[in-house]
Amino acid sequence: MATQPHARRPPDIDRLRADLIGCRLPAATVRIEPYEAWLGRWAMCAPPVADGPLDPLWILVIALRGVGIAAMIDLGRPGPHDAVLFGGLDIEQHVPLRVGVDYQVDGSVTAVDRHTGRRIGLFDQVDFTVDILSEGGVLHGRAGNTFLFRRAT
Amino acid sequence: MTVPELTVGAQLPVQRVEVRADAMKVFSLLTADPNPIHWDSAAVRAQGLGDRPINQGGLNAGYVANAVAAWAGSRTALRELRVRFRGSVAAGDPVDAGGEVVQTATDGCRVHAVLRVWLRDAAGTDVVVGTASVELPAPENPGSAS
Repeated sequence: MATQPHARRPPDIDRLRADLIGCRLPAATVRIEPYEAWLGRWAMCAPPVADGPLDPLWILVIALRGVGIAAMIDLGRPGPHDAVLFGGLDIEQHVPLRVGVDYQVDGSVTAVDRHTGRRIGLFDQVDFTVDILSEGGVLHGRAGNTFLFRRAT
Repeated sequence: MTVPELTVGAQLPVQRVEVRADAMKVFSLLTADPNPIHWDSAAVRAQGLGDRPINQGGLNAGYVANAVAAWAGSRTALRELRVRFRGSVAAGDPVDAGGEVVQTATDGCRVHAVLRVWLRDAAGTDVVVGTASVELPAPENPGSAS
C-alpha cells in the first residue's frame, strides 16, 4: 500500500493505552426539555407506544451531549488523514429517563486496542463507558460507545 | 396492549424507515455532533463517501430499538441493546429493522427474552447487527383460576 503524502505515524499503541484506559471524561449535567423530546422522537422515527418515558436511545443522546463527541474523538489522537468511525453501541436501560430531570453524565475510557481489518486496514478501537445518573447517584442508563480510528499509514 | 409472541423463533414485525436528511440535522443538534457528513453534502463528497448525507450510527441503532419497542408495546421493556455497525446508509435510503426471538426465560411473573436484531439496507446487507434483551410481564395462564 502506498504511503499517503501527509500521513503521520500512528500513535504508539502502548502509550495510547497507558494514557487513556481509566481516563475520566469531564462530568456534566444534561436535562432534556420537552421541545427536545418532541424533536428527538420525530428524528428517531420513534413509534407511538403506551408508556410515557423517553425512548432508550436518549441514553446515547445524553451520553454524547454530556461527554462531547469532539472530546471523545480527540482522545483517540486522530491524524489529519485518519478517519473516525462509530463501531458499536451498547445501551443498558436501568431506570427509564424522563423529560425535565437533571442527569449527571460520568464517562471513562475502558479499552484501547489496535487491529488490522481487511476492509479498513490499521485501526485503533477505543471503548468509552458513560453512566447516566440522577440525584443521589441512581444509575438510570449506561452507554458503551466504540470509536474506530482508521490510521492513514 | 398487544402481547408479543414470546417463543423462540418468533419474528418481530419489520419496521421500514426512509432515511431523512432533515432528521440527521436535528439529531446532530441533539447530540452536539460536529461531523459534517451528517448534514453537508459537500463534506460527504470531499471525503469520497458519495453525494448524500450519511446517517448517524445512533439513528440506525434507534430504528432497531424502535422495532423492539413496537413489538414489545413498551419503550421501557428494552433492558439492553448491543449493536455493531457494519455499514452505512445515506439520505433517501430505505432500511428495514427487524429481529427474532432467540432465547426466553421466565422468572416469576416476568419473562426475559433475548432477540437477534438487525437493520438491513435495500441490497439486503445487514448494516447493523446485534442483540436486544427485553423484560416483559409473563402472559397470564388462560387455564389458571382467577
